[in-house]
Amino acid sequence: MTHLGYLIAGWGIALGTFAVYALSVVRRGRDPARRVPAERSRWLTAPGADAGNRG
Amino acid sequence: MTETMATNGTTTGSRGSRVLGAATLLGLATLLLFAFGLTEADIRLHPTTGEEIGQFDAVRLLYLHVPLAVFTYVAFVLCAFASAGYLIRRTPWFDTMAHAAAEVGTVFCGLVLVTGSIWGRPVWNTWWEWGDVRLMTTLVLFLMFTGYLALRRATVDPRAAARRGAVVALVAVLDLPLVNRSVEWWENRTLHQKSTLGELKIQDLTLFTLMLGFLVFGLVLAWLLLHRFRVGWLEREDAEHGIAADIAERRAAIDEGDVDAAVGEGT
Amino acid sequence: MPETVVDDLTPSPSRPQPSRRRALPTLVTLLVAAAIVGVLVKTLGDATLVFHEVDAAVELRSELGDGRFRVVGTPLPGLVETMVDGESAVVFTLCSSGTFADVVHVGDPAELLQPGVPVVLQGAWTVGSVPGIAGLVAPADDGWHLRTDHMVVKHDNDYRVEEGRQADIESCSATG
Repeated sequence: MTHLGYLIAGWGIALGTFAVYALSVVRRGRDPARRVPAERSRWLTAPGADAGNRG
Repeated sequence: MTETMATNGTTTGSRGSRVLGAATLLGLATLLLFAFGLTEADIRLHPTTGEEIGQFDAVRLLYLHVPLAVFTYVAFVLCAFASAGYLIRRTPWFDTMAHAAAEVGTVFCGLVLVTGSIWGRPVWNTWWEWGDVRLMTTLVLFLMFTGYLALRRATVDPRAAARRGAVVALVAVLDLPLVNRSVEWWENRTLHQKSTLGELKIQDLTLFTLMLGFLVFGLVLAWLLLHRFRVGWLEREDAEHGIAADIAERRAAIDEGDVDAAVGEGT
Repeated sequence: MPETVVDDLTPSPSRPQPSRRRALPTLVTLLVAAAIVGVLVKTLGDATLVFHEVDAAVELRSELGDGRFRVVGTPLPGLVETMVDGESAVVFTLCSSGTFADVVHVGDPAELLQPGVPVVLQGAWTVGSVPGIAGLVAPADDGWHLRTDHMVVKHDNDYRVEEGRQADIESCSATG
């Protein structure tokens, strides 16, 4: 296969970056997920449903 | 909120997002199989000399680079719509979505620049070409959304950060048509080829693998966006819940006559 | 304590205060803004970044003088490797829209420099004989050549892969 080094570098950097970023997002969410009570974990609230109580 | 979207209380994951994550990983494995194992390299024959010409195996980077570019557009357009929504409705849902889409889109955009550069070295004979309009407009797009993220961090007041971020996002997204149309509008200022899909100069397994790339990186975007949105939403709730808990605690202290505790002294 | 004070215990967001934590993002914001301006100035201010087709470069030869410019065209079959002024060089004929120009490219050529695949070259018009011209299939041989030192490949958008398929190449001549 020609250009194997470039192929490994391109795919490796992209997939590696996604893996690191995904892990960082999951880790970042752990603390607030523990602290926020279940009744407030409504992150899929429809737009505008709670308009007015926050800026 | 449906049951499948509820978290288990310790992570931002849910049954739905785990299914999405598993599908994404399976899709990535399948894409690698097609991109490296089943599709042919780009090799054509010169009509008069019979010499082999083309991109050879470097073409396999395009099953990565092109979908990343398309989903960069999707993420930034989503950010722009959410930003406009925030400026109109002023609800946290729009702001959280705009912030999440901008951050994920910036990761995609950075990878578009890097993978394009790695593809360009063997195929174009250059890592980077100053003056290529598509490269420049994409770099400007990346810098503007990096600026968006930095501006949000630099602004202390969350409402001001949301407002300023929304304005920056709406300005930055104006660069998107320039990025997309640059190969048509400034044909003699770019090394980028014109649209392959638009002229249907791709077929069979090569086309299938590219489409699979779109599907898989669409799933990657969806998974990252879902989790990043949830993180933003939880952080906002966490901050507000902390304030609400403080209020409740202090009111309870007042009811018990412990004014020192209520005003925060001796705690 | 007066009741009005006790009632006002709601923790309110503190007034935004500049802090060291905000200094880095602020600096990054300013650097990003400066980088955007820098990119735009560099992109818009360089006239050599426009690619001239070979026919336009030939037509504008007197106007271009000995100034550097970029030219795009398709190399014809017959790439001659030689030495020029002690440096390795590749000599070939470039064409577009039926117009030809001989090229002496000094330095390493692109890895995928191939007849039939367009290239963008940066250099200037030079008067004089072309070394290795005898090896070219259809030289312009008009007393001028392009002396270039920067070569990038401008690949087409054709990805139709099938075994033994001939490439679609813009025809400049019977040899093209």
